[in-house]
Amino acid sequence: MQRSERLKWMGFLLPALAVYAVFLIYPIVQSGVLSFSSWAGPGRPKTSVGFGNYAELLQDPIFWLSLRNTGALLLVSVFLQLPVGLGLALIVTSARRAKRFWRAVYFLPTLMSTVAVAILWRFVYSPEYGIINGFLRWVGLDSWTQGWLGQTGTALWAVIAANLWQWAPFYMIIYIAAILGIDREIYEAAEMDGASPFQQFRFITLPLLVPVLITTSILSLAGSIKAFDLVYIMTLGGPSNSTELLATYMFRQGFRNYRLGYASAVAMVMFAITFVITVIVLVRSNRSQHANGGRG
Amino acid sequence: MTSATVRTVDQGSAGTPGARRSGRRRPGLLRLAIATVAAILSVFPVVFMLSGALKTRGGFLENPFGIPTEITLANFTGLIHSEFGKYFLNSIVIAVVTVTGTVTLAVLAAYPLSRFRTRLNTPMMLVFLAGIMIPVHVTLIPIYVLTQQMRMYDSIAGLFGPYIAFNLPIAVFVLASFFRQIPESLFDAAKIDGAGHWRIVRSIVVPMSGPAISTVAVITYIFAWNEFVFALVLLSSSTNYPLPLGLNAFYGEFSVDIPGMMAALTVATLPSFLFFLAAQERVVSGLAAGALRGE
Repeated sequence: MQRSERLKWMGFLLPALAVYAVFLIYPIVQSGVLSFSSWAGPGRPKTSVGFGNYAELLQDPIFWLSLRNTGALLLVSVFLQLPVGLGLALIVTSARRAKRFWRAVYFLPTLMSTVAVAILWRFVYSPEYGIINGFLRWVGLDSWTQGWLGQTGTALWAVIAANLWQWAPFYMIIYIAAILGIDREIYEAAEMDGASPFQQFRFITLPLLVPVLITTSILSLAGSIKAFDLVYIMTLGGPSNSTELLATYMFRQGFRNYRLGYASAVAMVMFAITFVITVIVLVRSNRSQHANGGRG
Repeated sequence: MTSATVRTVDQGSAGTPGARRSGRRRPGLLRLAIATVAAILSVFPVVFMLSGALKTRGGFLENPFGIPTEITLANFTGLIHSEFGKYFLNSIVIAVVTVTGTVTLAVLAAYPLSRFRTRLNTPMMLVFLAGIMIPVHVTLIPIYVLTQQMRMYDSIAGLFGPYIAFNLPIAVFVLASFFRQIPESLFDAAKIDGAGHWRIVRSIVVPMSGPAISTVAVITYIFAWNEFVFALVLLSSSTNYPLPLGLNAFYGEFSVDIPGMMAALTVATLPSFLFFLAAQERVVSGLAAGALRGE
C-alpha cells in the first residue's frame, strides 16, 4: 500500500478509533491502574496501595459470596438458558404452520428493557399481589406461598429465573437462524433412511450447531458476568447479600462507599474472568474442530 | 428471504395428502401442547402487565390476576401529567443520536477494513472484536471520572460517547463482513470513472448496504433504549432521565399504585414491540447476525 493510501486508510478509521480509544480502551487501562490505589473520587487524594486492594479482596467474605453467586448465574445461563433457548427454537422450526407467530410470542420477553423486566417480576413475586403466590393459592398449595425475593434461601433463584425468562428467547432467535440455515436435503436423505425425529436432531442438527453453540456459550458467559440491572432493581443485592453479584458489588463499593480503587479491583476480576473464559472456549473449540476435521 | 422460505415450507406441508397427516396427528397434538405451555410461560408476566394497566387501583387490589372487570384508561392518561413524557423524549433523543453516530462511524471504519488491501486490517479488526466481550463495569469508574473532567456530568450528551463506543465493535464487524461481499466490479467501474474513496462510500457502499445498516441500527437502538448502568452513574437530575432510570424512579415513588406502574411499563416497552411487529425479519436477523457471523 502506498503512503497516501495508508493515510486514507487511517483517515477513515480515525473517528471510530478515537471514540473507541477514549471510551473503551483508555478506561480499561485506567481501571487497571486505579485498582492499585486508594481513592474516594475526583478532588480527593489518591494514594498507591500496591496489591493492597487485591489482598483485601481475598479476605472479603462478600466478595467470595458475589463470586459464588455470579458462578451460579453463569452455570444456569449455560446449562439451562441455552438448552431452553434451543428447545424453543426446535418448537418454532418444527411447527407446521405459523412459525412467525410462535417466534413472536416467545420473543416478547427479550424485547423488554431489563429494568421493565425487573419491576414486572417484582410484582410477579410479590407476596400478596404476586401472580406466583396467587397461582399456588388457586391450586391449593397455600403452604408453598412465600416472599420469594425477601428470604436468603429463594432470592437468588428467583432472580436467576427472571433472567432465564428474559434471555432464553434471545438465544432461541440465534438457534432458529442457524437451524433454518441447515440444508434441507440432509434431513430428507435421513428420513429416507428411516431416521426418527430424535435421531435427526441428535445426529444432524446438534453436530451442525456446534459452532453456534460455542458462540452462544461465550455470549452467555459474558452476559452473566455483566448481569447487573435485574439484581440492582429486584433486590439491591439483598437480603443480607444473598443475591450480590460481582457487578452489583463493584457498583456498591465504587458508587455507594466511594472506594474507587477497591471497586476497580473487583472490576479487574470481572475483566480477568471474561478474558480467561473466552480464551479457554476459543482454544478448546478450535482444537475440537481440528480433531473432527482430522477424523472426517 | 427467510420469510419467503418459511412460507413455502408451510404451504408445502398444507398441500400434503390428508392420509399422511392424520397418521401423524398424535405427535402433532403433543407438539402443539408443548408449544402452548411454553407460550403461556413466556407471556404470562406480559399479560399480567397489560391487564394490570387497564384496572383501577381498587379493581387491582380486589382482583390482581383475573381479567379486568371494569376497564380504565386513566392509568395511561395519568402518565401524560407526570414526568414520564420527559423520560420518553430523553430516550428518543439518546436513541437517535446513538444510532446515527454508531452507524456513521462504523461505516467509515468498516470501509477501509474491508476494501483496502493491507496487513494492518487483521490486527485492527481484532482490536474492535475484543470490545464485544468487555463488561461495561470494567470501564465504569474511569468513564465517570472522565465525564466529570469533561464537564459533561449530569447531561444526556455525556452518554453518547460510551454508548457509541460500546456499540462500535459489533457494528464495525457486521458492516465490514457485508462490505466484503459487494462485487469488485462496481468498485472498478467507479475507479475508472475517477471516483475517490469518499465518492465510493457515498454512492456505492452506503446505497448497497441497506440490510446491514438497518441490522446495525436495530442492535444499537435496542442497546440505547434499554441501557441502565451508564445512565445511573452519569446522570443525577430526574429531568435528564431516560426511560429505564425514569421507570426505576417511578417504582420508588408509586410502588403503591401498581396499575399506574404497569401502564408506565407498557408504554415504555411499546416502541420496541411495534418496531418488532413492523420489521420482524430485520430485528431477528439483526440479533442473529452478530452471534452467527461472530464465529
